[in-house]
Amino acid sequence: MVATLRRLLLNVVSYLLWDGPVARLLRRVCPALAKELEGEASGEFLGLLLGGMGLALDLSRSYRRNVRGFSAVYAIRVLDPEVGRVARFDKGRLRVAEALGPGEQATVTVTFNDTRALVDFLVAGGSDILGVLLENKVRVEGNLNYLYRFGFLVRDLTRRFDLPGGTAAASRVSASAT
Amino acid sequence: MSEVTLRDTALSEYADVPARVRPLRDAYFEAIPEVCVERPKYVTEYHVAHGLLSDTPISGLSKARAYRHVLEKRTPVVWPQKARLRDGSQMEIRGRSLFAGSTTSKFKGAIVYPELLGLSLWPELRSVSSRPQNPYYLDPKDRRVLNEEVFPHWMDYSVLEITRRREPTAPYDLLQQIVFFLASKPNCMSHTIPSFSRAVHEGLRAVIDDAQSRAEAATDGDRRDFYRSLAEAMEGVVAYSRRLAAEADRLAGGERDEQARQELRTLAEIHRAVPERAARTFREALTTVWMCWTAIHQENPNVGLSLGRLDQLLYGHYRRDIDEGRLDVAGALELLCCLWLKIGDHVPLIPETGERLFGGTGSNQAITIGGVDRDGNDSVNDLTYVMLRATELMMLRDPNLNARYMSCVNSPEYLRRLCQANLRTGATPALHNDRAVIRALTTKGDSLEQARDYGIVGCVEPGSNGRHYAHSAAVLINLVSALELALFNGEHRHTGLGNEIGPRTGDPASFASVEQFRDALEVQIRWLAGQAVQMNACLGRTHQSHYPTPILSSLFEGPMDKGNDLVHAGATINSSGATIIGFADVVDSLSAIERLVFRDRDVPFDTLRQALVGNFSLPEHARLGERLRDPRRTPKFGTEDPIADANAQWLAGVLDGFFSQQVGPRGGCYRVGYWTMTNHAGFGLLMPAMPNGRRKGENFASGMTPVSGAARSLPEALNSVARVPKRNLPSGLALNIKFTPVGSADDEAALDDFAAWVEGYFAPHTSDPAADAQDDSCGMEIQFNIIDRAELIDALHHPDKPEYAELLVRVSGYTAYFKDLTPEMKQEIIERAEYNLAGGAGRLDWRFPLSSEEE
Repeated sequence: MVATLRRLLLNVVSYLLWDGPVARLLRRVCPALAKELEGEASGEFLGLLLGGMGLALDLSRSYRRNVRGFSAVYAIRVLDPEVGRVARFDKGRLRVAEALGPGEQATVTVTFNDTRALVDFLVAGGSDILGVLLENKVRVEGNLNYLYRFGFLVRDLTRRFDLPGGTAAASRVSASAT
Repeated sequence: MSEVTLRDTALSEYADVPARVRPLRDAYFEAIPEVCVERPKYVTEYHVAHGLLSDTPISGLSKARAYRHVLEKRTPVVWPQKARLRDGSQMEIRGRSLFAGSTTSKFKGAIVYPELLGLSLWPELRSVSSRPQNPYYLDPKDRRVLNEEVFPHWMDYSVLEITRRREPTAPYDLLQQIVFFLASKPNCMSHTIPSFSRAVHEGLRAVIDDAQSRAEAATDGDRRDFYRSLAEAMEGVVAYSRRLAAEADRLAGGERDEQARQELRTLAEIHRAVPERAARTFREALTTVWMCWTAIHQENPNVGLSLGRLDQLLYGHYRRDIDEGRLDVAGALELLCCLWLKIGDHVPLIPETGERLFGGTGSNQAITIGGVDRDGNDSVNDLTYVMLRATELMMLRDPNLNARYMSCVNSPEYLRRLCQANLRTGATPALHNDRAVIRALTTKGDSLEQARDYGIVGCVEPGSNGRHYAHSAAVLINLVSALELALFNGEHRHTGLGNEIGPRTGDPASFASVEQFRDALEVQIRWLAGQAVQMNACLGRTHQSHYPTPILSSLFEGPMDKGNDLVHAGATINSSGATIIGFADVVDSLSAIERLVFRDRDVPFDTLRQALVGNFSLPEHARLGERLRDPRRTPKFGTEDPIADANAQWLAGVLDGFFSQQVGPRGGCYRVGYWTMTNHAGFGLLMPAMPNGRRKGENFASGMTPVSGAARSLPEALNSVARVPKRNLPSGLALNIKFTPVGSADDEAALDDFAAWVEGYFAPHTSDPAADAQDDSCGMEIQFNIIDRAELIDALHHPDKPEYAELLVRVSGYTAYFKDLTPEMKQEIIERAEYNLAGGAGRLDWRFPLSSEEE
């Protein structure tokens, strides 16, 4: 009930805000995520990332367009330190859980060797999905295309809301390369 | 018979890029590619509207209608007005090409194929414009189209995903781990040469009429639909050309410049006539080829899709125009330079990390010139030389020019001219020995006439022109992985020792002889190759059910007569290709094991293996590594060492023996080739230390080229490679040789030396014709880099210097711009052994990392 009300409220708010204020709000509400993105990601990173993504989907209409009509269940695991989360996308929302429900099947299951691989894989900075695959740091069971979409969602999150690792960091990388 | 009437085959009086082409060429080098979303948008639109996105097979007719929809909707670009620069700004284009139309709506574009691997670009949609290596500009509006209107529809229906869902036993895990093999069908089924003959000589209306009358006569529904698919697809091509005509007319109406107006009127007239009707002039014939070429790209990505023997196809039109005074050599050169630029108007779309494996590659669109005709006569003509000159002047990555040469039939002057072109360009054309290639093809069942009419596909693969669907890059085998599995009893260091991947072939430390080790290696090779074949078969079935190719089938010999699409074995000749990565490194490793471990018993196998696991880092292992790398102390391929040569021949025999027994998804057996593109650097990056002394992460040798530094002189290298039987190399090989530049490309002595090397390498080793028929030891292919090492090092450190923007180098099978290559690939090219033209002595005194003095 509380969750539904909260979502309703955020949905109303999302029609009043554009991305600039959402970005400020995100950084204020999720300081830990920004901190993780800035520094050495810990075992908390996965949960914080999915939490931030869920909040951004609730708060930002433009970000929500990315998942219009999209339904999928992602089971994401990190082996070192061992962390697991399930991300369920449905009707423009993201719900995060610790494990799959009874009898529930993940659309795609991704297992990372460590948090570093997870960060390299998901956040902009020169490495992408194939890169982590090449280095044998991730195992994917299921439809790889869903992972490509998830990669976009993460990168769009960091860039759209100017989180560390997003636009600013990427443009720094680009500038130094050129 | 030879048709050479030119007084100066070097065409030295045409010293510059034609004035019309110069601004276009300049813009080409300044512009970065732009992602074009027209094709994916219209293809998706059609598939969604007609309910084609499902597990139900898609008929060729539905596909043809989808492509006709694309061809009827895509923007008819007559003369592109703008190009995109690296900083995102736009530049105006001032030149006016003699050809209208384009493969994309951009001046230099990249096409997205969401049915294949297009979705791999998804994570990069926000960063692809600014990525450091080989960026593609993506307009924010187009990003939204891909993200919201295109990609979501294909998530469950890309070729790879359909295959994964339908074929649970496919070795999907191995494919994902990348170090074992690559399969190209998730990305394309390209790598072939269409036939433009009918389109040029009869026009597409004749193809349409033929297909329609066969459809009416067909009693079988599938066959009727197949013929209707051909007609439908070709109507789309005709419609696109007519729309270009209309657009040219429209532009002419508003054009103030009289000359430009007239040129537009001429373009309109040409596009109203061709490709629908038979080409009447050389320019119309070229336009027909170009229109068909752009259409094929709407169907399948261009990965090694090649244009074939254009000097043969178009010579009649050229000769007639010249003889009747409608054309002169300057005009023909101008047309060809314009067309060469058009052919390069698109680049493959490669995700960021794909750059690590394939960085800098173009589409590898091979054009073949020279050689013999179907009757075995000299087929070199004036147009051969005009094409050669156009290539010299333009210095483009694509098209990739390949020249055939038949000793004693083609003239020695022609060979000298090919060598001169290499000296002038430093990198092109690649040279192919007709004698060896024709022998290799007839061994695999091609008729003599078919074999004589071969063209080069992609990098170096020979295939009978317009009738052989080779898909020569169907699977790429990392041979070093098979060796790794033999060394570690079925385990692989990259995927973790302790995990059984391949068969348990025994601990080599327990082997009593090298024969036992060879047996283990052969088992692993057969297992690994078998996995790749299985994966290719699974993917092939998906292409058959979901990806028929009516456009290409219309432009090919076979489908019309057989009544089958190309994906259903419609071609006259069918085969699948397996290309081998890491050949010389494996030969050298096997030879080192044979000599040091088993023959001399100097090094216990366990010691060798410990050194490999430790990457030769301990002092005693470092000494062993030095010994293993030293060609004076360890047998090396390319030194005429009997052990190494025997192992090379054994290995090529094992691979050919296995693959020639495997039937591909379209029927026809696999054909083995040894060309690596940039994969010898990409795979090298991933692979651990090897028994030939190669350390972790170092490049493998390219193609069938000996490991750099092994051959102290050129003859040794050439002889070792030539001894590998051609019957085992039906899909060709790439032998990369680097020559120290000479003072002038026209230096007579240098040309004599150069031609002598090629002639010697290509010549049979006997003068007795009867013995010659049995002899299999002449060289097959050779390609060159003729560039100063200091210049390459300078280009490595100063890639932004203007003179290096166009620096062309030969990779392994194709040419590339040095600046676009990965760091590993640049290193590999710099490290290649360099030989003097006079005498062939090697300069072998360097090795990466560069010394501080060099840096």
